[in-house]
Amino acid sequence: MSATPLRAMGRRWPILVVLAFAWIGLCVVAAVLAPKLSPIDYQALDLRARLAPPLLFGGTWQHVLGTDEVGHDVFSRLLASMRVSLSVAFIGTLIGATLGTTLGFLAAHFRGWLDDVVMMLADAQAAIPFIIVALTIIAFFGTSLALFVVVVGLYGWQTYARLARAMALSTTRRGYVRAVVALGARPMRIYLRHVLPNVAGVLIVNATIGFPEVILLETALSFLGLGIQPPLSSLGSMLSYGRSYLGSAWWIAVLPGVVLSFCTLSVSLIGDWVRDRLDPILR
Amino acid sequence: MDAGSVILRKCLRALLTLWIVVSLTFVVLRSAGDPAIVILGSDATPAMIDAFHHQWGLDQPLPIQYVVYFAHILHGDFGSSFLDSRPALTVVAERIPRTLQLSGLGLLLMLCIGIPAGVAAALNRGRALDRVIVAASVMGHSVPSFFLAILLILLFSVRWRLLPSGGAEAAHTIIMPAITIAAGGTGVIARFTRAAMLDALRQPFVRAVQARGVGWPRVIRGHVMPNAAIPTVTMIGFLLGGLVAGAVITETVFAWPGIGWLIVTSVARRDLAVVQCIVLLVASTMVLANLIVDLLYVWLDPRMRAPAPEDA
Repeated sequence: MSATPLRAMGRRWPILVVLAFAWIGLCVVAAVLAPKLSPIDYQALDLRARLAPPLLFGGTWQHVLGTDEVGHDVFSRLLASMRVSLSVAFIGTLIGATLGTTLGFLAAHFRGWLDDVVMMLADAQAAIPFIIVALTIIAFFGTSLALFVVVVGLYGWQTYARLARAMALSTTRRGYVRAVVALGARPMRIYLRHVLPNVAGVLIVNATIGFPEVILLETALSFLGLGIQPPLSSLGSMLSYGRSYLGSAWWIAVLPGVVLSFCTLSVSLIGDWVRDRLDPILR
Repeated sequence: MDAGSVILRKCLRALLTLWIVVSLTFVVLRSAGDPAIVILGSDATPAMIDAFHHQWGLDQPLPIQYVVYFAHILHGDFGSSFLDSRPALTVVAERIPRTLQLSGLGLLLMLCIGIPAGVAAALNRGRALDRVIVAASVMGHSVPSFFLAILLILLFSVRWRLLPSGGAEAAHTIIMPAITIAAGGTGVIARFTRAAMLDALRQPFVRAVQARGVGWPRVIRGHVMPNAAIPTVTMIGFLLGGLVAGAVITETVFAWPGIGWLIVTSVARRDLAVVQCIVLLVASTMVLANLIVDLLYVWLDPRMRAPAPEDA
């Protein structure tokens, strides 16, 4: 897919990509500084101002984005949820990338049956929608935060494994790697110091392209009530309980949904743009 | 390689994937503790547990357990739902028609909107129509389906009171779930078709056919579109997975009584026999669908049937 809309615009830094970067930056800052930025503790109750509307819809400065049915401040809750959702997605992506890359390198190094097993598992995972796999694991092992992060991490490992394996196979044939091998370097050193830096770029692009899907997986599972559990709050769980108040307080569900949509939109715009620039490698 | 051996190899691969999935389910089942308690529930009596152990061969060594488990699965015996102790397969089977209805309509919407939109965008490349279609399709697959569902409910059920917010009692209740399930895939199909069309338009044979004096509409219909169809068909194979994932969320939001809603409620209630049955059912459907797409690919692309020396 060489002809995407961004290239059609024919600019190096299209305005949409700049906006996307700005939005992601804003979200990351908001997530990191959430406890300092939020005016009120996100678990604090303000029973006098239950279901208060946002400022622009007749609300007060007290609760800029309104409150929910027990008087939680929606703005503070939104910040806390962004913090949780982005952290889980980020750690999950790291787990998936590390696991996939390691397995890919092992497969490339040892070949033989190990290679076959890794590739077979990758095929099997690619054949089933991951949400079904995630639901199964949660059904059998329960809903704990640690397990949930690992489940999110398992998503997409096979794409890293395929890329890492293919690139390791081609890199280890190169002259400089042979030279290092001849100098007596151990496999660990070769893969970490010489192969990894050469494949890192592609793996990072893959992570960027896959990141919205990881966020969507986390929020979808939390939305279904099988991910992040109270008292923690994720964008997905906020949407889920806001569903019950659509008639009286639409802002509880709509605001996290808008934030989430802008996040996935931004990351996919950035991903498209990066992919366009690195087209030959990822084709 | 001739067509016969290509088909044979693909079938074997599909069987292999299924075998891996069943084996992995066995591993998960065994590592989650005693399957008797897992399947029967924690309030099972010791007598029930013993009977279950004997029935499923759990008093045997592990390799034999694996074989027995496999045999049960092959006979369609997935255990019983601990809610009403009916066979899990029956519980799942009665939900299948609803899911087929919803995903079928969703897929139809995706194809009927996505493909024409992609073709129109490619033929009007760079113009306003192209921009609008591309922007709409990027939006379509960026907005999470559960948020789209909530927006639809907010507008059509809560504000305007035009459509019911859930259930499957009347025919028009399917409208909002179908739109929700189709939105993301429509965007993906439109963009993919557009890219495939542009790719085909760039090929030298297009100019050659044109030079022979063939009219532009005929070039598009007879030469560009068939070539663009090949990558698009593969794409549809990938979309089926998205359709299943979409069904899980959409059915739950709209209380549509299909398999997607069933798996979510079963996971929440730890009704593991049902979960396991759905997983194996979805896995085999997906593997079969991918196999069909692969075979369709062989049929569509003559190069796949011809000997391919570098592919051997």
